[in-house]
Amino acid sequence: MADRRLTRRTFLKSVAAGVAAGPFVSTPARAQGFTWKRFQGKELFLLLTKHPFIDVLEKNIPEFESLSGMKVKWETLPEIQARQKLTVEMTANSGGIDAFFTSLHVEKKRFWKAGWYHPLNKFLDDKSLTSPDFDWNDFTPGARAGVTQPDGSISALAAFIDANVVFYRKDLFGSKGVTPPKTLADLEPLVQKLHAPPATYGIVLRGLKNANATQYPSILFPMGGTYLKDGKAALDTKEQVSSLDLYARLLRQYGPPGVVNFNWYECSASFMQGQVAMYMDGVNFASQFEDAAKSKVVGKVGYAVLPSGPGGHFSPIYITGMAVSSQSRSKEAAYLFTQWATNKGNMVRELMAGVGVGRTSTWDNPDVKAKPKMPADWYQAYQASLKIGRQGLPEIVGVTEYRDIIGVAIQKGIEGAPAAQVLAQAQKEFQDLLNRTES
Amino acid sequence: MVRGGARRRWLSTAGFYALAGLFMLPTVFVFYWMITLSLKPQIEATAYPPSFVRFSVTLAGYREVFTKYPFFLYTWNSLVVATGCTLLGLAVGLPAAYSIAHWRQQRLAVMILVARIIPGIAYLIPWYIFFRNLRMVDTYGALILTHLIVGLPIIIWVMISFFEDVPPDLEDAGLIDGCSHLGVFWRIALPLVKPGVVATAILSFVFSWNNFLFSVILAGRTTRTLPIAVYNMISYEEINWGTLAAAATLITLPVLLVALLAQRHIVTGLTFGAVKQ
Amino acid sequence: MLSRWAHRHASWLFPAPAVVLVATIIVYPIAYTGWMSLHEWFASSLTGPRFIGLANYGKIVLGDARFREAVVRTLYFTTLAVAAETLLGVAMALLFNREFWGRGLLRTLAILPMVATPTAIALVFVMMYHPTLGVANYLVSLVGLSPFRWTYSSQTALYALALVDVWQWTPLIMLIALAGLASLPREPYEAAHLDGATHLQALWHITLPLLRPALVVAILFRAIDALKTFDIIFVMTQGGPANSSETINILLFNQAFSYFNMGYSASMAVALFALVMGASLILIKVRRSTTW
Repeated sequence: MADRRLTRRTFLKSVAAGVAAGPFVSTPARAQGFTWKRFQGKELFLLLTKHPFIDVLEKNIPEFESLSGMKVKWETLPEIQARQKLTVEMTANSGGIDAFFTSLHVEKKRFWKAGWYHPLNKFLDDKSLTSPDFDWNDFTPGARAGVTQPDGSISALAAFIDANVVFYRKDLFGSKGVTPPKTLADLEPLVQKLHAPPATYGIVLRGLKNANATQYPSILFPMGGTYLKDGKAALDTKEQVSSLDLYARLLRQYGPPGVVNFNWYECSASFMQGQVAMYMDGVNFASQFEDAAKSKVVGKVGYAVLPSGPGGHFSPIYITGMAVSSQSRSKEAAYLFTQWATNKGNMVRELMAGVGVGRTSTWDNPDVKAKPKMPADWYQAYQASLKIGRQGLPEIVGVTEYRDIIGVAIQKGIEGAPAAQVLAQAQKEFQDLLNRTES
Repeated sequence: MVRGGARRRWLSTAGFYALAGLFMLPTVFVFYWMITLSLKPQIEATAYPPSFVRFSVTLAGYREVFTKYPFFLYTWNSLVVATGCTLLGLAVGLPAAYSIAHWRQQRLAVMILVARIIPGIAYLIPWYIFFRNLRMVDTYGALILTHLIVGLPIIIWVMISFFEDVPPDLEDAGLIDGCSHLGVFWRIALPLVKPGVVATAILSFVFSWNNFLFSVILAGRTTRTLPIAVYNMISYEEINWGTLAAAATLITLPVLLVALLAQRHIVTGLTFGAVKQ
Repeated sequence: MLSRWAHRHASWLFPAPAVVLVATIIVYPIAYTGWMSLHEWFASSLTGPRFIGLANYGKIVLGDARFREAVVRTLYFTTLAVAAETLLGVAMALLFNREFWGRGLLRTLAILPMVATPTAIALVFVMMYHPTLGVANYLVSLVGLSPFRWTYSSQTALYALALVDVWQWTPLIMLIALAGLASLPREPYEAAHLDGATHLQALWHITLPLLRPALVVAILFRAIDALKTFDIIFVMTQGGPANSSETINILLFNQAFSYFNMGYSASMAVALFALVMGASLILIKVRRSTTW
């Protein structure tokens, strides 16, 4: 009698252990109390931004639902509308959003100061909440730094990292016998050589204010310039003047007409229609260049790392991630989603779809290497750029306003105003902004 | 003499159609462009020189609109909200306009106008708090009420002008005959202002149909309206021109159909020489 | 009994539903915006709004050149657009106010621009205005002119935007004018014809003055909307290049949703409201002088 009871109890215990381990049969059974089904039955609401990373993620959300037993509702909006909706919800203190996709280069310090991010440190350290194979250290140092605030609190789990690279027309370069620019000094003569209007314009870069501020550091950083020095505005330095002068001159003399108001879609359209020889922007715009239904330059595009300069070799990077709302009523459950969205499995899926990610291991994944979606030099340029990656925008509360300030200065420069003059004005406005908001 | 007269008439008719054509050219062209854009593959959409007549046709744009979004749901939602808003607007707006015209209630008119003058953005956060507390977010009710802010002022203000044109003698005669104010309004004034009613109903419907700002904040997944679908065609790294133009065309289509079906009413409503006593 | 009471109080029973409805929905936003304009707040969950009295207003009147420029631009844009729309709208109404083949279809087509979603139209125009790939410059080149910069230059951006507004909203004026023309009595025309007046004289002395009340209302609404124009500017230029198309509404949207400067944005909203209210009252007075 006793034996049988013992056997049955032992049997029930092992069944319970099996259930707790969940579908993760492939991982070592060091479950230590972690289970995906911990918040089974709860409902989550996500606010997502229209973004290639989300396009891939959305398709797999049903997998998370069956994994966790939770019901997930979400809304995907273009970035500005998403931020608007988030603002309205958080201001109304509605608790209606559990997790959201955050653009850290715009929101990092602002949302932190407003108390909208729920710090994830405790969750990451909690072995009952974090899957054993999540591996926080698999994220690149740049990605980890990008989501960590000055006080050490981790505001989001890094999802997507955008790096800036050079897109160039291999055929045009070949016919003129030139290679992508290695240094800033090479840049202008090269562009001049390729400039043959109206069939071909030498270069296109973003001119539209605010949008141009993320590409401007591609020239500013190698020139040795920066936006802040010891917490004070540094827009009127010698390096800044040279940078703005170069950026504006390149566009004014060798850019397509109207470039002063070009956002990424006008730039991409010009490049894909074969009108420009060179384009520098975020590496993820490239997937459409290789799409025959959209691009006339399929197979003719080369990818290279940005040129270096007297100040060094840098690629401006911008990070987005999944964050948990501080007003969420199911923070731990929301955290389960965010960690699933950024785990190794999902990151492999993203990279296989051509979306750059913030985990180191993903780049060496055999599946990714076997079926690359993009040409080899795209991966090379991307990885090399991540290694020299540097936050493209200042980590301040008023970063959008800064982008407008420097953005307008660049536009004025493109339209012919002297760089020193517009930068002096921008410097005043920027310092004023810092005084107002950085205290 | 006869020939000269006939020729003059022919010239004036030709002149009329030429002038009408000239005025309509910008309208027709932009819509033609939008429709052809929706049928072109992406690569031709941005090609230069642009292709006007000869281009490869693809339905990919339309396919994507229907597969990516519950387009019929959105259309239905827009229809419900716009119709509800217009009917409610007419129901409360016509009596109000009559009253303001009849009893010279200038101040009331201005108060109603204020709703239209307030910048839309000022409404967003307070309305969200307000409707959230009433648990009315993602309901037709919230959308109809808020769209009313856009439609009601124009219904009232335009109709005031029309009601003012109703001869007071007619109204007085009705009252003397024992009609109530409601009777005068319903049986005497209203029939005379039909052109205005038609025009303002169209305007109210259109304004509600196109409203984007309020719907972003107050609509949820079940009540989302059409303009949002258009905006969602802009993604992070590309604009799907074909799909965008397809969405834009599809959004314009239902209203165009409604207008065509109601054409007879529009024509009789806006006909030259409505006889007045 | 009830009907007698209703009869006596008809003057407020008639408008009551409309007034109650409107009042309910606008009271809270007005109070909230007014209250917020007296505070400083950056949408923080941690610290609430800080009362600063009229400091925001002081700043927009005295300390913010960007706001003052936006005011001038807003007024300029509105005047330009509404004037063009009125001229074209009335002309088209006069033209279409007759029996002709295809009348119904033509009139329905003519109101289409107003029916299309502003955001979609704006995006179609963005591509049409593209300096090297757009069809607008292609058409311009066909007529032998050199290409324009449209929205891609700080000199021309505001005009290019006004063109889109005119394209889209002329039908509003036309529609109201047509409705007004349809209600015109026959007698003055018959009398004028008997007196030997020409079409032009009839137009100037009879039609236009009789149309004026309805027309002023149409202008009033167009002006209100044009002063608050948002969609097309936001989508096409975002206020650029170099703020050359930044109107008050764009600026205050930025203040709220980009800079999170809630109190400041609220004070701008109040200022915009005052501006539009002022313009409206002027137009209402113009209208009143023609009827009451």
